[in-house]
Order: sequence, then structure tokens, then C-alpha cells
Amino acid sequence: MTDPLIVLDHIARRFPSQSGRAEFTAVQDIDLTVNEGEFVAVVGPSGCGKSTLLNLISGLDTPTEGLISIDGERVRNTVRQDVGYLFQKDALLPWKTVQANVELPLVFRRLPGDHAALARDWLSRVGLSGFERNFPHQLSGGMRKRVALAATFVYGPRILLMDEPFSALDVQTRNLMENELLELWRQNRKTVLFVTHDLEEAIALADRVVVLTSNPGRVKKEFQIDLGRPRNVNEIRFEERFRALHEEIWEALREEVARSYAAQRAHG
Amino acid sequence: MARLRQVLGAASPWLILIMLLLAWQGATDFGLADPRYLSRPTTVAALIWDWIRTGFILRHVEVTVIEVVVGYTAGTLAGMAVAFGFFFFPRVAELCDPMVVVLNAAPRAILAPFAVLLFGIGLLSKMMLVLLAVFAITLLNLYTGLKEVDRTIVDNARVMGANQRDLARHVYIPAALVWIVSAMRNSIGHAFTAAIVCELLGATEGLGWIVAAGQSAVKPDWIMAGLFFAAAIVVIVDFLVLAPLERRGSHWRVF
Amino acid sequence: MRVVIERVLVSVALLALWQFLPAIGLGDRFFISSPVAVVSLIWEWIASGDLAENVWITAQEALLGLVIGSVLGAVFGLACGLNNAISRALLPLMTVGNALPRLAFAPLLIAWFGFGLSSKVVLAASVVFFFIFFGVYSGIRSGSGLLVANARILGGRGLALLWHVHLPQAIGWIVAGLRLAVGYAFAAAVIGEYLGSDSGLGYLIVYGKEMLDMTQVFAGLAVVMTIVGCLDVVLRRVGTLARR
Repeated sequence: MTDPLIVLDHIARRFPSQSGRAEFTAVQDIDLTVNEGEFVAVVGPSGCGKSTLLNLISGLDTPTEGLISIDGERVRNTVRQDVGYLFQKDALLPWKTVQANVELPLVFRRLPGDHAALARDWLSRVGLSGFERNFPHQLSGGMRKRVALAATFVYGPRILLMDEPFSALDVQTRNLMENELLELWRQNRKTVLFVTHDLEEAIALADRVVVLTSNPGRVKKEFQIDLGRPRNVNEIRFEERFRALHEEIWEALREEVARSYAAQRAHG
Repeated sequence: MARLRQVLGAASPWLILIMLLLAWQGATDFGLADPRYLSRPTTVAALIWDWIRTGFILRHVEVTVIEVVVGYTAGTLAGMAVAFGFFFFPRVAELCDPMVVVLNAAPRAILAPFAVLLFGIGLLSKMMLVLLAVFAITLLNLYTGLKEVDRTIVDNARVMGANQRDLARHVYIPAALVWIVSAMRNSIGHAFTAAIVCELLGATEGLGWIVAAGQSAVKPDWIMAGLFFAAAIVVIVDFLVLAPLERRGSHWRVF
Repeated sequence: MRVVIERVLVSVALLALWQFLPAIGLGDRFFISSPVAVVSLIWEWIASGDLAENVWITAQEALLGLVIGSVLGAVFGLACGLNNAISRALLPLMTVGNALPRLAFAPLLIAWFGFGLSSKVVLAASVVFFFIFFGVYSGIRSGSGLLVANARILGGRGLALLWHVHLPQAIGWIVAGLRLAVGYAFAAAVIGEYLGSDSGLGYLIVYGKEMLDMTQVFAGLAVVMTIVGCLDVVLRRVGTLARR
């Protein structure tokens, strides 16, 4: 067995709170490993530090305690060059065309080659040929997500971090995008860490589902998803094994959701 | 009928304006108001026409416009430089905060006596006051704008491999353009106000000087005609140059 | 805390520079005065009662202008915000009026209303009017149409609709407009005094200018800016409270 690609060793991240004194602990005691080519989904109630986790792995943020390493190399306070990151919010530059947005990472990385052709190729792979000269605000939410996807795949990152990327989309678009993501992943076999609060999405996409506790986030339990591939997210939900897994994981998640809800109510 | 109402709606601001002018004319003509203080629309219009015909006004418009153009350009550039400086060196911004508060404490036009005393009654004092007024507005607008650039966009660019220079070039400067244009539009009126108030307090030429001369000679038609030209220039610059520029600059900013 | 100390140090250093530059031959004391001279003059004004008297005059002008301008601005702002026909007729005029260099109109108002209080009040009111007008107007127009529609379905009408739906949505805008208006009301009063008066802070400043007394100009400006700065801090607090 080869070594895991991403290793999180006793990670904690605390933020100074606004009042100055008390600290806010986003995540604590996180131990997690991800193997090369694996698709791991992280689920947990809202506010359990899922996004913090991705920021730490990408190098945008630094843990207060613990150690993160990728491919045996410690992640320090710099942004990793071999990760791609799909944010929940729109992150395209509103003043650049679709084409220019997809070329941008190639410009930033000073990669050789024909940027324009590469960008066009990826735009056609996500089904956006013909929209190269449009501006992001002229596209629908789903199309903007496709542009973001193309802009991430275009520079071939080894690791893909995804922070509820499809949560703002309507159900139909969302299922379509999930299937497209699975297809892209099948062709490229990147290592994916996918954060979501939607358990069905997590099971349908991932090889493994990690359940976090409510604030502060800890790893509560991990589940192997032994469903066959290739999958179709629309159909897999009706399989017997899917339902069994859903029930089993929901058992672990429910408690945390309830606790998070109670905490929110207590804070008004 | 609907069409008539539409036309009437579009014409109504003009109708109000014409009615006000007629009331003013009537009041002075029929002895309800003293034309020595209030003058008359016809008197003022005749004076405006006379100044244009003889070319008397040209020199004064030119002086005021030169003061504004020089001060405005320098103020915008200086404001941009300091705003970017503050943004990329937050430590400096932190230390300079009290000075920014003082700068922002009151409309800069009140510093006119100070400017005249320090820089004399020539064009320099007006340019410096305009510079200060425009500098303050540009600095505050742009610095606030830069701090409000969407965190996600910056993070995304960093993950995609952008270094500090890439961020400045592809993220911060394009984002700043919108704020710069809006600051330019905001500050044009202040620039003219600063120049004219400064001219009122000490000058030998310029639109403000005309108004001041009218005041000391108790000639209200001079005051009004002078203000008419000042107002006309501001409105032309604002609505014909800067407003379209602002619309263009924010073509991607559709909400 | 450290930042506060550092800021004080920077400010003190700048004041010291101002105080001691002429001593090393940079800058003429006659032109740039000195912080010590300015502070001692202000102290003299306080001791003799001149300060209180002149502040009171300027404050009266500014506050009266503020009240009159706010009331008129609010009335017109509401009318334009709630009624499309009125808005079509008045908004273009207001937009142009807002663009005009209004502080420069001081000589005209002095010619009309004389050297006394009223010309400054009118000038201040004319400046304040537009801030409040656009605060109220934008506040109402930028409010959510959905909330208004829902309130009307629930039976909201007239004053109740205004009070419970329109005004709460506009409050942030109104406070922002008011904050700017306070500074401008004082500036208008002071500039009005520059151009024709026999008392008030603006008179003190412009008298200093005529006498080529930079110390007096600085002292007067320092007082004006301190007053406006303090009012701004207070209104900012009110603004954050109002938005809750």
C-alpha cells in the first residue's frame, strides 16, 4: 500500500473572536488521510469548519496546531501550486470574459503553450463553446460554475478542493453538474476533497464519506462507499445499497445536525 | 391621451423651471420684489449674452478651468497613489489614520483662507485647495473600495497561482477602476466649489472673482451671471463627460 | 492598544516637526505659525469667552440650517420616493441642483438676506436639503419591492405602510445622508461667514486672514474641524445603532 497523498495530523484552527478575548475554535483534533486518486466527501452540519479545512489544505490559511503534508511535504504558509479550489461563491473576475477567466491561471503560473487554445478546449469540454466572449454576469449560475470548473481543470492540478460548489444551483442543474464532475474525474482521476452539507450528494459522488461533528469540527466517523462506478447520480439514489448507506451515515450525522441547530437557537 | 401624459411628464421639469423664471420676472416687474437685490431674469440673460459676445467671460472661465484641471488631475493621481500605498502597506495606513480623520473632518473648501494666506492670491492657492479636496475624496473612495474586493475572488486567484503583482494587475487595479471613476465623478463638484470659494476670498480673475466683484459692487446680476457660468461648466462636465464614463466603466457591474 | 500609542507618537512627532522646523531654518514662522501659538490662542479665546460666543453663533446657523434643510429634504424626498409623477417632474431638477457648486452661492444669499444669521441659515439649509432629499429618496426607492408588495397584501396602507415598511428600510440611507449633512452645514455656515459677517468662527478665521495672522486662521480652523469631527463620531455611533 502506498503512502496517502494528503495527511492531516491533529489539526486545530482557532480564530480570535471580535471581542478580543475568547477564541473561536473552527476545527479541532482533525486526523484525516486522503489517498491519491480518491474521491472523499466531508459532511457535517453548517458551521462545523468544513470550509476552514479546505483553506488549511490549500495553504490559504495556516493551522494553529498540527501538521498538514501533501505528498510527504509539509504545507506551510504559502498557497500550494498543485491544488485547484472550487468555491461556493462565484469567484470569476467580473471584468474579464469567460475565455480570459479560463486563461488566467495559465497566465498566473506562466505556463508555456497556447493558452487560448487550451482554454477553448476546456470550455468545449464543459459545454460552453460559443460563450468565450461573454462576461460572467451574462451567464446563468450553472454556466458560471462550468467556467470555474474549466478554469480549474485547465492547469491540471493534482488535488481538487471543492467547497459546496453546487449548493447555489437548482436541483436539475445540480444533478447535471454532479454527473459532469464524475465524468471529468473518471477521465483524470484527480484526488478530490469535496465538502458538502448534503448527504445524498456526498454518497452519490464519493469513495469515502467523512462525518464531522458540530462546532468545533472533529472527525466523528468515516464510511467507505462501496457502490460501483461509473455512477449516475440520478439513478444511484434508488439502489438498495445507497439507501442502506444513507441510513447508516444519517444515524451519525443526525445527532450533530440537532446539536448544531440547538446551539444556533441558543445564540439567537 | 397616454402619449400626452408621457410628453407632459418628460416636459414637467422644464415647465417648473420656466414657471419659476416667470414668477421671478413678474415679481420684479410688478414691484413685488426689488430688482436692485433680486435683479431680473432678462437683465441677467442680457449680461450673460453680453459677456459671451464680447468675449469678456472667456478669460475668467479659462482661469477657473485651469485651476480645476491641474488640481483635479494632481489630486486624483495623489489620492490613487496613497490609497494603493495604504492598501498594500496596511501598517502605514494604521499609523496615518489620525491624519485621514483630520483630512476628512470637514469639507475642504473651508480651508480656503488658509490656502490664500499660504499660497497667495494667484492660481497656485486655488490649485492646491482643489488638489486637497480631490485627494481626500479619491483616497477615501478608493481605499474603501479596495478593502471591499471580494475575499473569494482574491483567494481563488491565489490558488490559481497569482503572486502579489498578478493580484494587483488582474484583481485589484481592475476592481479599483470602478471606484476611481466614481471618485472622479464625486469630486468634480467639490473641485469647482473649492476653486470658486478660494477665488471669492482672494483673486484677480476667475469666475469666483466675478462673483466677488459683483458682491462688493452690489450688482446681483453680476453675481448670478457668474454663478450661471460656474454651474453650467459643472453640469456639462458632470453629465456629458463623467456620467457616461461611469456607466461605461461599470458595464460588467450588473446586479 | 499598541496601535493607539503608535498613532499618538506619530501625531506628536508631526506636531513637533511643525513647531521646530522654523528653528532650523525651514519655513517661516510668520507663514506657518506653530502648534504652541495656536493652542495658546485657543486658550485665550476660551478664557475671554470669545470662543463660546462665536461657536454659539456658528452652531446656531448650522443647526437651524440643518433642521430646515432636513425637514424640507425629507418632505420632498418622501414625495418623490412615493409618487412617480412628482419624481418625474422634480428628480431631474434635484439631480442638477445636487451637482451645482452650492457653497459658491454664498455671495448671492448674502446679497439677498444680508450679513446676519439668515443668509448662513439659508446657505446651510440649501446644502443640507440635497443630502437629506437623496437619502430619503434613495432609501425608499432601493427598498425591497417584495416587502412593500407583501405588506400591502397584508393590508398595509398610507402612514402605516410608510412607518413600518418604507422608513425602516430607508433608515440606513437617511443616517448616512445626515452624517454628511452635519459637516456640510457647519462648512456652509463658516463659508457664509467668510463672505459677509461680523461674528462667528468663520469671521474669526477670515479676520485672521485679512490681518495676515496665520495663528488665528489655524486656531479657527482647528476649532471648526474638532466640532465637526466630534459630531461625526457621534453620528457614526448612531448610524451603527440604527442599523441594528
